[in-house]
Amino acid sequence: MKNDEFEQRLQRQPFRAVPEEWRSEILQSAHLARCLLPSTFDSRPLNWWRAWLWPNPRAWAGLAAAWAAILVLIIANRAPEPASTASLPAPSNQILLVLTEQRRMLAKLIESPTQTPAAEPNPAAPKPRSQRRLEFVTA
Amino acid sequence: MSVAEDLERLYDAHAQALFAFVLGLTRDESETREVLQDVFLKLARQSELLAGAREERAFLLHLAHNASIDRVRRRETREPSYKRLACEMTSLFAPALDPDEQALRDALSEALAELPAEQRAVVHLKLWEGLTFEAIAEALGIPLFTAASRYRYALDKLRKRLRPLYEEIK
Repeated sequence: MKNDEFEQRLQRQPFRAVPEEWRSEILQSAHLARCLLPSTFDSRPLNWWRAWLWPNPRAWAGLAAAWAAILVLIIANRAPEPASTASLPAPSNQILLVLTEQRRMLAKLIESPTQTPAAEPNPAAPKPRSQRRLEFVTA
Repeated sequence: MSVAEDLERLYDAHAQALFAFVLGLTRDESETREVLQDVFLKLARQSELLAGAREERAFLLHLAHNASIDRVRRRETREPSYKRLACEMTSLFAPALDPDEQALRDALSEALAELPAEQRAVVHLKLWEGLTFEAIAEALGIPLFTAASRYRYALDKLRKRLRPLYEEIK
């Protein structure tokens, strides 16, 4: 009995077929087990994104950085500028002369104020009641 | 492809091979069904399991082997007579029209049942799955030389056991 021949003879013996009804039973229970998994998180979308991004991660990172820089520039340009006179046109000589004149007049007014004496109290004016009583007592 | 579709594809492609392998190990049809269900439940719960496998069939056989060993050990602990009953089970093989062929299949089935489970697994994977010793070693988690020597011992036993019948019907 040659070894190869014997082995080949054994190899030719077909096994019993798997019972047909097992297919639906086993797959159904597997499906049920899948549905009853504690976490319903499906990693497929994540995997899809990963598969999509993975070929050139550096290129995608560079693109993202460029977009970030553009956003920063846009935001910086939108920020309100502080009110400044630098952009206003320079005043004309005439206006400057008027302003100088006004300043000079104002200084003169401050330096020599009008000396108005304090008004004398009117003797006919009624005095406080306490003073009147004192006059009445002393009289 | 969704997980459900993937499981259907795996079942259609490998269930017959897994059935034959597991039936050879457990020698019990209901145990075999349980083992197959264990394998597919595991695949359903951990769909990423097959992602790292080089050979889909070899990996599934590995899962089935582990599940079978667990079940057989538990069963043998519960029922010490299980080993004897397993040897008496009906044929592993499809019925044959030719009586000589049928006789050979019955004798082969009995001879396989008499082998230790670890030798049976190697013989099955070598003869009926056509795996290399390297693949068998990987599937069963044993050294390469162990796989080869188990096969040699098992084949010698089968030859001795089947020689009279084989010579008669050759």
